[in-house]
Amino acid sequence: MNRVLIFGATSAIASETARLLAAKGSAFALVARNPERMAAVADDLRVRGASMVHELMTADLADCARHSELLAAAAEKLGGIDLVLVAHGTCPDQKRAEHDYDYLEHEMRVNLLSVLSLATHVGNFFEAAKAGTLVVLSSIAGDRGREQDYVFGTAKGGVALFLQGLRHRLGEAGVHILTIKAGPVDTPLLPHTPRPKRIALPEEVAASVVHALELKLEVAYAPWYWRWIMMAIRHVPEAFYKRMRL
Amino acid sequence: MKEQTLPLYWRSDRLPIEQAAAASVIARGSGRSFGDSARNSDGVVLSTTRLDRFISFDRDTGLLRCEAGVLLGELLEQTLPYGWSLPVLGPSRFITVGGAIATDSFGENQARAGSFGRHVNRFELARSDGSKIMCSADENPALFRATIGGLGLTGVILWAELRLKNVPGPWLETERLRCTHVRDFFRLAEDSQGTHEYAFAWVDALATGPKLGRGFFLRANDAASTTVAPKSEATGFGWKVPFELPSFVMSRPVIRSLGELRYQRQSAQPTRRTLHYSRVLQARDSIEGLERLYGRRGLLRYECVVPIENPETVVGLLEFIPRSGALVSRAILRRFGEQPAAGLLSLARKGYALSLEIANDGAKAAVLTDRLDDLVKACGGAVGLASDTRMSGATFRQLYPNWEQFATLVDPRFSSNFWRRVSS
Repeated sequence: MNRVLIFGATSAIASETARLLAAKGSAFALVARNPERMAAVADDLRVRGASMVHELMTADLADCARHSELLAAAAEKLGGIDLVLVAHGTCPDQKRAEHDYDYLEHEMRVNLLSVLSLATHVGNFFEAAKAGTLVVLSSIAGDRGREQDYVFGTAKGGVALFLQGLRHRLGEAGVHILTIKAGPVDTPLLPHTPRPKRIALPEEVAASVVHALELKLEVAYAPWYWRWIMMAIRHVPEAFYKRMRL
Repeated sequence: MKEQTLPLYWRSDRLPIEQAAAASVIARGSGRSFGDSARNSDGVVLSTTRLDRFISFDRDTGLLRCEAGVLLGELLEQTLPYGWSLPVLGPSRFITVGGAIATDSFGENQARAGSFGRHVNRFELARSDGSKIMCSADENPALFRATIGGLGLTGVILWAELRLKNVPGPWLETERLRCTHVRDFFRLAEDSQGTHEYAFAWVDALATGPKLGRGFFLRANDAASTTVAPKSEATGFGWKVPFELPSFVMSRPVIRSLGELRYQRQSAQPTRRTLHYSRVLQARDSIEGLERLYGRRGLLRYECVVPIENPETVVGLLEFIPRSGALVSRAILRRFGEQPAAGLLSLARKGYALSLEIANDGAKAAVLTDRLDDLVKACGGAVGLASDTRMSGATFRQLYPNWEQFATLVDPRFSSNFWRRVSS
């Protein structure tokens, strides 16, 4: 029986993933900022087959001091945790961050530092329990710095690197760490212009997440074709790359 | 200015009216309508497809609450395993709950169960002034009746509470009989009223003279036992039309031959089979992109109801169709029942309903639909609004005397191509 804790439960990808897990009868503990939206997601999961749904504290996850408290509360409510999904975040305004360092620092706290804090606490929790799966939503923007979104890319790339190290440290302890590198997804987070050519639906990404969980992958690209596109892009020499307009 | 689409994500949010500036807005669900009631050229369309969450479902009483963007098929996936189905199954499983309410959609059991709106307890309506109004037969009843069948003009339906019906399973026991003439349909329709939940006739619209209205009549009931072992697999084969064919492919001889084939498939002996409900009542869903067969011109859908006292008008309609030269590729006859209409602009009334699909070749289709309008008006019937794309304002006002009362309840910021056409 799956006991699932979701940080950022009102995110489009997280709620679609939760629907797929609910159909299997999982139990949930949810963390999000907006209580009305979290209640809407919780009601939906209950009808779709979730064995129980706890709406945990509504919390702004940028406040790292509360992370261990949230984790402990979830473990108590669910009687243990099998899967943690970290899906919260914002899409920083690239142009603003280029000139306003305070804004940049705030966005890093939300998108990078808070994720590292959660990963640390969850990693240690699972290490002690000798089992558990941590899934974190990262992005292809973290594979290579790009003019349009390098602030977002730094946060996501930093997260991916940290998880790589954590995976190395906890490999023998029976802890499964899955990094999902998603391409552009049609969610409220996506900035309206310019609209990317290849865009996925949240339910497609959710299916990739569940598929990757079943196959126990380490790093999964969602949808799958980004793996090969990013592999090519990563191998372009820097001198050429900086002149390309992707 | 092109039509702009704004998605709605959360029922707790306000409508993004400010983002629409001065333009009018209209809600759209799956966008499967044949008509233009969810089209708003030069305006804003509010997409409800992401308002697709369930709210609650009582497995003992069959009371279900869900957001308006939930597809009927998705809803049934969650409820059928517990023995609950929709009392009105609607034309397709890909339409949304909000769409079914806004068009007051009907299925093959209209004669016994009425239209979709009759099984809705209440819903929450969001208006452009930021208010969210609960509507039911007791709370804001005028707005409740205006919104059912109101084609989205009174506001955006955020969520609805539905009364589901208990079913033993998803199977139907069906009986299909040949009709050599439309009078067979009238006789069978009256005979089946007391004994069968679902009944309809497929009619060869291009048949004339002694073969007028030939086709087959299908009647069905929910299969009493789930231990029945059906012959064919559950939901049948799915087809896809991958691209638009040139318009000349579906020509008159092709449609006549298809009609002949379909008629001949039903032998003189009745055929009894047990089938999954979707293969009987939503068979069109198995063909994705059916309208692409008709090329760029596409299809028009024309629906009308003739009062029960005037069956001769149905004969008149069927006689005119082959003479008009229009390409009618599909004609379905249904008996509509005594259940009073739940909405002000509802098509539901006691009589015989004829649904046509017409290849949109311009002039001939227009001649046909105008003449059919005249015949229906003359006998005191009604023409459906949900699939309409060309009804004039004068016809609309004549067919729907409630229109003035409806117009007072339309939200001032809401409009659609349909509404601008019929209010001119």
